[in-house]
Amino acid sequence: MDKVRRKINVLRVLQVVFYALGFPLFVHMVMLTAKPIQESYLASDLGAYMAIIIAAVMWVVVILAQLLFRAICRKNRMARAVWVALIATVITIAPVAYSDFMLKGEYEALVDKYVEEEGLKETDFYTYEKAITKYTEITEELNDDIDEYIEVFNLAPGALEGKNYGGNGDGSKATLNEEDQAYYSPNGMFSDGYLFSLKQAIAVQKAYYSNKLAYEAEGKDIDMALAEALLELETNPSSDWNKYKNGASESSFKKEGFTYITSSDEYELAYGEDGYAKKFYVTDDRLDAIASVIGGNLGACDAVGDLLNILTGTGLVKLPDGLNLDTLLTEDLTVDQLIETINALGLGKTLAGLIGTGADSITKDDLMGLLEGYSNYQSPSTYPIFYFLEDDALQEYAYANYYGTIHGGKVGAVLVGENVGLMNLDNMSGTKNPYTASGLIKTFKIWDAQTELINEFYPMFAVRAIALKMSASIVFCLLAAYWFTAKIDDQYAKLAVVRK
Amino acid sequence: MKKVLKTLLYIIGFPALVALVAYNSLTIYEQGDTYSFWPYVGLILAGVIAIVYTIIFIVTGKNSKKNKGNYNKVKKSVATLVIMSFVLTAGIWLVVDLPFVLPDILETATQGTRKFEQLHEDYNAQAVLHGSLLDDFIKMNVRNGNLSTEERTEEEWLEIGYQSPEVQKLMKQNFVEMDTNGYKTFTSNGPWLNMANDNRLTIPVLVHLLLNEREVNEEVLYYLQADLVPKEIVTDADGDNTFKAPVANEEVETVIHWTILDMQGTPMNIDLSGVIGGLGLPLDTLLPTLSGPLSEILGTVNETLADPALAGAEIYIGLDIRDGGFQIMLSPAAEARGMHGYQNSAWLDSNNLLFAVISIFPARKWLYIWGAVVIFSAVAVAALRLKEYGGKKEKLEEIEEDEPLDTTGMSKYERKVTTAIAERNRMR
Repeated sequence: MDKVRRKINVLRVLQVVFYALGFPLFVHMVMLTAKPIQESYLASDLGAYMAIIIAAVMWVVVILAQLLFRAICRKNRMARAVWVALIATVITIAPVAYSDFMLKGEYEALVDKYVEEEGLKETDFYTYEKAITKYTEITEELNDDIDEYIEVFNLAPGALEGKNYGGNGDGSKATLNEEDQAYYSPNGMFSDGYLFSLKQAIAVQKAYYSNKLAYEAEGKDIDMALAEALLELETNPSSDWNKYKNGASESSFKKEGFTYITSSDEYELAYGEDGYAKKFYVTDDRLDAIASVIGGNLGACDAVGDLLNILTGTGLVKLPDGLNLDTLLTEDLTVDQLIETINALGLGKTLAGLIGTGADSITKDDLMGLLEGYSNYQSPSTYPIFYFLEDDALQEYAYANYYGTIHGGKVGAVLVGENVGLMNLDNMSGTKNPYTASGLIKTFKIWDAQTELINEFYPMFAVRAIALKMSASIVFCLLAAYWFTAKIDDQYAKLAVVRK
Repeated sequence: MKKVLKTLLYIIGFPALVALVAYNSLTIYEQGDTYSFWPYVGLILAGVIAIVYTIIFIVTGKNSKKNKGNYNKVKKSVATLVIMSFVLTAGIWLVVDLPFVLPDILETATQGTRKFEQLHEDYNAQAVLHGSLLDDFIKMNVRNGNLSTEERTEEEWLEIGYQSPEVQKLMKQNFVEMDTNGYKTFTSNGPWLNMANDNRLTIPVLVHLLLNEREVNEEVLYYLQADLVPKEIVTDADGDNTFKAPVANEEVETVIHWTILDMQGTPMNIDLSGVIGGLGLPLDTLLPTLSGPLSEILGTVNETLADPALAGAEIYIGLDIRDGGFQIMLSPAAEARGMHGYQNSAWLDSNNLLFAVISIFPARKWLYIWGAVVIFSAVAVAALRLKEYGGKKEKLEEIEEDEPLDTTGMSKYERKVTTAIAERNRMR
């Protein structure tokens, strides 16, 4: 009796082991092979798991076939096994046949599309025969390239969804658009604390560089064209921008379908005399208030004179003729006076060099221009001036320019220019941009093409690779499991139960 | 003999596990010794689980004995013991470790400043950090007079720690003021502080943090016995004594304004030793002459920075010329006022809870590791009980084909299979 029981136990183990070596192992192997696809920045939610889904569906189909033939061939165990083996053979060969005979044409059509429509070269792609074996390598290399891109531009680690660091300065709501992977303010721009997702960083750079290159191709300078268009909006009293600032009726705007965000006085409420946005940035008045405090406090401090006496006595500092600190350092000190003094001390040229104007002295406009980049505050509840640009290309460029430089500078992720990424007190110049405009545009096109490949082709390649190696063994193991089941039944036939 | 063996097997299970949890939590107990039961929460949890297991151990033992000779019932009883040994060790933690349970609770408790992965192995370092937060808080507040040295010496304050009602009151009141009139004034008008805390302190963010107008709550007051101001110029003669003598406040409860440096809690030092050295200035002879007026000017600059037109709160600019160096120091006022930076202050405010959370990690780790031993001991005890009380189980035997079928005492499964096979054999 014990001998029979032992046999049954051994046969049961073998039955389970051989079953596990079939489809369960197949699904597991596909899961391992498709891991680079799952981890790819370019895979969609569905694409990331498509290979596993396909493998699981194949298994489920065979299970259903097993149940079906169990019902149909109740008594003929052999017929049941043969039918199931046949179904399993067809199912496991299907991805190989589909990949080799049908998918190849689609792959080549996709490559042709990018070559003809996007200007890529055939050499930017692997041939189908190579891609079908190198797809994991290609996916991993792409991820490395994207990791480097994220590091250069200092995007959020993992960067897929971007990040919103908090509410808008004016208390308005930042709304997440999951499809865009971006947070938006009521004026349709990115929210104050939005750090670009990978998708939006690419979109900004595409808009910036493609328009810039298009202008250059025609021998034009897009920055000059933008400056002229903005100047026209500023100076033309009947421009939409000026109408907006003055709260004109919506129907009077040239811009089609224009509506105010909250009310016709929204601009005045933000940037008017007591506008709320003013508490977020440096204005002329705030600079003068700062100068006044500095002048008043230092003027009352006798040590300033003592220090200058010591320094001039040693010859380390030479004060210009006519500079009277007693009259300068008072509560009436203004920024204009400070700038005059700086120029009189001969420091203007040095500072102008640092700012990059190259002039012999600095002006208040230079200072405000410098501060604008650092303290600019675009109210999230008013439209920016470039919202009213009529030329679509110029408008797209203006937004991208704002996001890439001003907004990017704020969140520590400058996207365009010679120096990019994080610029702070420790590293004022950021990271040297290793990408050229045309190089970046081409890279994005390749990433677009690879996005399609990773989501639509590579999952099938992963299934094919494993199915190719395992189809015979899956069928063999399935048949073996059936055989062991039969043997178990044979052993049971020798047994009955008695009470001892 | 079997009883001794079973007792030994029981001891190497949960009792040993509880001892291991206690031994591996010694650093936590040492660091949180003034926080009453809080650092012992992990051990208490392990103890409660051990008690539950012990009850199961005893009840299943009695059950097995009661059903002596009934193999199936004894089998059921010992199986319960084995299953519960898994459930109460690794089983619980497999559930608690799910992202939406303990990791989420931890992130919420620390406002996202500590993640599960950072703690599950490094809990001792975190306990040391939390212990030093309290010690440093006490030292800072002894220095500025908030904790009176007439009442206790610094050593005594450190010894009594969190058990002192004065320390608890000071921590609570001053943190509420820092939170209300510091942190919330920064976070209520934009994302700037969060960006600064995430290594994105760009110049525009700094400008916003310094110049944005912020509203304080005049009714929330800070307790401060005396103002401490850093020395404008720190020389070798000062050593580590970098503050001027404290100046007693007329009103000890007042509204305090905070700067971004206070929120970060650490000074910013700009080392100009190389630049100054390169200029070839005769600093050795110049500095003694300059230090007088320079100190006065720096004092004026510091007052100017505190003006509402500028930072609106104290940031101390000073020079550190110790060891032949030349560093410009931008010091926050938080330390002088007896506070850590915001994050550490927030942690200190919830230190008891955090000690409780930290203490769970050694329990978690050893319930996982020693869980295997507990399960082994349960299986061994189960085998012993089965042998001792199980009696003889029903056996299957080879029979002649035409022998009548006897299914008495069969399990449901066995009866079904045997009947089906016999039926088929008859049909052949």
